[in-house]
Amino acid sequence: MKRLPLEITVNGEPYSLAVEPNRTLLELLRDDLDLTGAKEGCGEGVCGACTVLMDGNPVRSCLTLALQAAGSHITTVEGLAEGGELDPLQQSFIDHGAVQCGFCTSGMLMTAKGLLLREPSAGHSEIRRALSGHVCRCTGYTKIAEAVEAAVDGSLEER
Amino acid sequence: MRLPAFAYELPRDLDEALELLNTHGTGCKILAGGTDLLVRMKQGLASPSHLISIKALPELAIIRESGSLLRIGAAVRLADILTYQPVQNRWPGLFEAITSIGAPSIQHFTGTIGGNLCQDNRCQFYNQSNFFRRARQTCNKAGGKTCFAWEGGSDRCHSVCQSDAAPVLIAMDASVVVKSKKGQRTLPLAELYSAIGERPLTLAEDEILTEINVPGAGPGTGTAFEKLAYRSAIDYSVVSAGALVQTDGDQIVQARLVIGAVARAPLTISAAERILTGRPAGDQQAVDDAGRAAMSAAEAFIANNMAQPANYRIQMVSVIAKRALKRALDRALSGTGITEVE
Repeated sequence: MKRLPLEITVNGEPYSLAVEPNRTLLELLRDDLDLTGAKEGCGEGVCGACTVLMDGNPVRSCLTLALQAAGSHITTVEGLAEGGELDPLQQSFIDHGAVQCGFCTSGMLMTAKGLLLREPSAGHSEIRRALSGHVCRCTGYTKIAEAVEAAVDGSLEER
Repeated sequence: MRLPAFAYELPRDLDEALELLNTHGTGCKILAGGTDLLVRMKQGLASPSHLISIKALPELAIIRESGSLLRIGAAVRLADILTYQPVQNRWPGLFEAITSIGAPSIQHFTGTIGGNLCQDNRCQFYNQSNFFRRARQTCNKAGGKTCFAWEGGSDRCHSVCQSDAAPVLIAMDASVVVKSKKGQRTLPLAELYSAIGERPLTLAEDEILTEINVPGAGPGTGTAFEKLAYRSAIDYSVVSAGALVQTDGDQIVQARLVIGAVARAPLTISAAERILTGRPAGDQQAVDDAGRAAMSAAEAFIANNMAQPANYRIQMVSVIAKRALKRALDRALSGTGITEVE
């Protein structure tokens, strides 16, 4: 299969790559760039574990071709912390015990981050609606929603 | 899960896209958000030689009012329809339908209106992995000669059209613009659907859906969409209903009801229109009768193609139809959009 050129920025770092058309964004991140924070759960867009931010908006990386992300800025869970400081959302997840097995966590964090970038003072119902596309098989939904709400209250700093 | 191999095309304008479709024909699939197509490709249900991405086509990205008409390009993302203020104010039924699709992180920033309308029909025996399907004979939709969703088998495919945008758009008498290298045609949205399970769209191989035109709802007109699903996100409809009701004073002068997720194509309930037209707006009996008419029309089509028992789905048609009609009627009488109602 013919490889096509791909210019993409991941966590602030620009890459010039050549990728096969059938490479998904998730495969590119995990296998080519060794960013294994985004997980493959179902591979069909149902579970949300592979969610990353594309230009600030959450997308399913398992259902996005790497080539569809050409020219965009991708943020993965590895890009949330800055200068050794955890993102307030990440700290809030720790403080509220919102992580059990951890498989869904990176997807939950990225969707929550996307929401707070768009609506910095998102309320109870907006948070629940935003997280509704994510599955947590430890069923720790309450703690996760609480952690996101606390990050709103804790005057989350915009980046 | 890996995707099969294909060639990727990124045309810069519509003419280039139409040329590609004309050249590659049957081997081509159009890639918009990919939330339906890429899953089917992963499951081995579609294996196009070429994927034509319509991401960069400016002609398909418009959303604007033109006179009383709402024009939406086929590649407009669902999120962009929800944030377009006139939709919330004047087309609340469309707003409700779009809100119900998928989950925020799928529908908002990836899925498109054209993709929702052109998604393939679904069936619990067809939309499965290769491994699952290998345990049985090949069904009609996969190129075989049997149907597992119809008791006793059938020589026709009994899959279901799961578009949530289609029922309410058909109720609102929307039309679609379809283009090919040879020219363009405009047809009612209802005619985009063939009611053939194996090949649910009437689009030719070299044609592409470019635009959806929705007539404006005049004064005294209300629209609504109602969906029954087991989960509030990433779930397909068990039954859905789109409704439009127009009133003049205290009388219903026009009513349209379209049921989704029960048949091979969105099911227009013409009996409901006959029952409701001319009746007083407060006539509860008329709404009940329309709900029953919808149930008996849908009963003939509902197959064992979803996880829910067919009998349950049949009964719920009447409930969901009545809810949609009542809310459309309320809006027709109070003249409010979605923001004021909630």
